[in-house]
Amino acid sequence: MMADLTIAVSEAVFAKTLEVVVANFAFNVSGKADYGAFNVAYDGRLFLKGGSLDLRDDGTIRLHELDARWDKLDFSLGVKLPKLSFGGGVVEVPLWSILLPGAGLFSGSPTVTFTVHLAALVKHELSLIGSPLIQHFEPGVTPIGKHCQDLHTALKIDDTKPQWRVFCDPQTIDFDLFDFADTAGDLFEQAFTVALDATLPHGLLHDLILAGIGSVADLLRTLLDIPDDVSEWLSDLFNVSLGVFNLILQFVADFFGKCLSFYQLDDPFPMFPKTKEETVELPAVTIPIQNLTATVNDVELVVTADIGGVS
Amino acid sequence: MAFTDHSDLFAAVHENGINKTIGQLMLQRPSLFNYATLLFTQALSTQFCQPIAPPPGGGPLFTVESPLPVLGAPKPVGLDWCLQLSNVSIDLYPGHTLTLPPELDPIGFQQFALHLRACFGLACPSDLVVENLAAEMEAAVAESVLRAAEPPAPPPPTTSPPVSGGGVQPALAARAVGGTNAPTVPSVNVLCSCLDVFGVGHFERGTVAGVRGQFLKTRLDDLEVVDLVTDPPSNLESMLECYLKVVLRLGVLPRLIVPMQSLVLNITQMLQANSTSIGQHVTVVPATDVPNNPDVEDDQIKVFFNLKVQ
Repeated sequence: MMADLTIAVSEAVFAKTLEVVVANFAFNVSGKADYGAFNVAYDGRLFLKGGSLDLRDDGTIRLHELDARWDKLDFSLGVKLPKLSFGGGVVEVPLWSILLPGAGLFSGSPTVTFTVHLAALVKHELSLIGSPLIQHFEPGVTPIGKHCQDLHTALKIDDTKPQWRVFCDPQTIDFDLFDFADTAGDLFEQAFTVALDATLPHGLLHDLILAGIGSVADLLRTLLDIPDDVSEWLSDLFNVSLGVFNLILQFVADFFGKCLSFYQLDDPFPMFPKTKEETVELPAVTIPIQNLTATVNDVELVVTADIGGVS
Repeated sequence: MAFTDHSDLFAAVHENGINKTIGQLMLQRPSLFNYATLLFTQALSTQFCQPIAPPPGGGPLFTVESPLPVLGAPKPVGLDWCLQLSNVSIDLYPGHTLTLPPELDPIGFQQFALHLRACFGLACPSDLVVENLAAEMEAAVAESVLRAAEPPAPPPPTTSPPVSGGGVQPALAARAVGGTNAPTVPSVNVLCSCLDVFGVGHFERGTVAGVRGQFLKTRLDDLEVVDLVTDPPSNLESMLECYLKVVLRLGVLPRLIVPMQSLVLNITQMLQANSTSIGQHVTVVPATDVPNNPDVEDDQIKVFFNLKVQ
């Protein structure tokens, strides 16, 4: 029996969407705190790079190796130097006394600031596998849980009307706080490129060697990333996130994934809004939505639904 | 075969879904399908050709229309009437959901069939009521005849502005402005007649003379009124069908053309409206490399779109 409504989204749309997100995402962070004797500050700008989205036959969507890089990530530590005094005072010598001038340092309590540029060293990578989870929410009937309810209240999520809610159910997460493979690969590539630029003028030979350096750097990245790839593969195989950090992330993502829906559809769905024609008020026309499903295969995401008939 | 073999995005609605939506619309907005004079809210409320269920969310049962004018009456007067559309349903290729009249069966590739039942009710006054009103009409005529025989009155001292609709007889002018409040001939008996109307049409894309861009158009291919039989056979059915076809082709369907441009979903603009700006132009546009878009087959209307990132 064919569904009343069918919507299909191809894998290409997911890939293009990820490209747009990666190209346009940027996150600026900055802040400072003063602790009297010293102060700390940070200033950074995060952007995304690479990554791929695959639809899979087991009904899951895989985000693979999405890199997060820092354009700038500066940490500053400022130390306020105390005033220091040297010497000075009255020196008694026979017959008279001599007043020696004293010397003072840091009389204005200057601050010495050390800044560490970490952008080149800190690189992150995220891989996750998730699947769409659909729930029909009935106010007062569908259990939410106290913590989730508190979060809904804080975020002003309306839990008073029936809705279809679509969640992203995370299966496994692999987040590398420090992407060692890419960090080493980038440093290698940068160092050798600088050395090459200094020793060889630009030309065919220069370009050939540069391409070679890029290939070696890629190989290095791949080799160093093997342990992480194995870890991701095992995670996928056993459907569990490996590593304490990833387990904690999995726990947090499970909570948010099943508490905060990324798409809501009112049921019944208001098809024509309430209108007023001259003096006559026409109420909204609503359509009951039934049997909403979302399935994933290796080609597309298919959403189906039925429309409720007049009983 | 995947739904998105020929496009990035695919959407389809089954004829059952369309018909259930029409059913919901008829239940919740009966005023879109029922038209009657004001008296049907009062004395004639039980005289509809088909009873109207009150919509669950409230709202009017029908759209109020002007009475049917009594042609030539010296005083404006009309008859109450109602028109009710019911059993509205759609059948998409290959069909078989509707039992079409032989003239239209079977529907062709990419075609859809439409059925509706139209019931017209006329509040027919009794002879006694008409006789009484006839006396009023005679009195009105006699008064105007006698007034005409009198010498003309001198013109008024000041000039009045020209009356709108100059050249129209006063009685007709009064009727024209009578609107829904024009007096009607009292009656308690509504005579009903129902007709089943079937139509076959298709969608096509094309240009409109003098306007740039492509348009999506709904075309009526044929129409059939069922069971309008006279003995001996006459042209009445053909005349009615001809009139309905002309009304649909010239009055209704041209209003339903949709510029293809309006089917383009500008994601960038939508994001901007939500205070998110991106550096790329992202749109969802109708796919042009599929043979039929929209595609009417498998009892569904299918549409194909592509995601463009520039």
